[in-house]
Amino acid sequence: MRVLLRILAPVLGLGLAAVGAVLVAEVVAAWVWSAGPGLLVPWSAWRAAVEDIRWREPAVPLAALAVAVLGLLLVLLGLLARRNDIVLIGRGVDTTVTTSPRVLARLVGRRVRAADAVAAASITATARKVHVRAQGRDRAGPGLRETVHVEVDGVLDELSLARRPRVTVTVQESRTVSELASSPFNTAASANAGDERSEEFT
Amino acid sequence: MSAPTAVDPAERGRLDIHPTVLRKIVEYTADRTPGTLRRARTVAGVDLGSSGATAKVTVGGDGTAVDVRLELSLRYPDPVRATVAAVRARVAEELERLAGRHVRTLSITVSDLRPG
Repeated sequence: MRVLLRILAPVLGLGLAAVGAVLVAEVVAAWVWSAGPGLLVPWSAWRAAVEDIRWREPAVPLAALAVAVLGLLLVLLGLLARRNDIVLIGRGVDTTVTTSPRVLARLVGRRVRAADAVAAASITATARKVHVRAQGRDRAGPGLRETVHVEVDGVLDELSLARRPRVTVTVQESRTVSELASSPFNTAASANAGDERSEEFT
Repeated sequence: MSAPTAVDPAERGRLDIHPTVLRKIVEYTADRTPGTLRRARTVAGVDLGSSGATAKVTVGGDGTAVDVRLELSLRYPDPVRATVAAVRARVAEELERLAGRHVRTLSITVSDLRPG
């Protein structure tokens, strides 16, 4: 949602700026050529078209409804795109400490990848859930899931979060070194700081 | 010629401390608290040095209480609670000592947790 908002905000801003610039150009052109048809916009024709529309015509309430729905969607987008920080030390006291899902994902990723049995891992973290997809080494036994779980729990214990997220672990099949080189887990790190959730791949 | 009226030294003027000064006190103090780290600044992979804590200070209604929002990086695996408690204590002490302000609320955003 935050990504969409970040794209939408400059687009809408640039659109409004463009409309403003065209308006200024049209006003200046109207001052210079008072009877002109319009410099960039055929406003005379638009005006004639609008003058033919009556309030009782069905197009009027439909247009109003469309604008209202669009506005509500924008409001909804703004409300849903709020920061989804992870609370380290609870609200309600005089000191509040929060961090971003990206920081938690990095911490968990660093700890999980440091385990001998783990060849690669990707982490998705939100305030409510931490999901780890781990890939074991050749010699990794059937206890890989448990190993990863213990590592993640260790990080969460150390952080002593105000609300402990649920941890889920998905284990991929063990792969050889040559297979790991072409693994999708080996893509570059990717995480959006303000996004609702943060993922890290290594 | 009349003698100058004696004015109590405490009444001879007023001292205003700009919020920027309070902000710099907070940032300086936070950066010097053990357990906090400086952050590397990069743009498109280009190293632009490092930066310390960033703060926003809002002065309360009576002018002596301040609300502080602080963003900083902490060393991990140092305990977050202990480091934050130290930051709060030091910031409160320095603001009181240097500017006569007391911290009403402190909101800290941990932007990074990494080995020092």
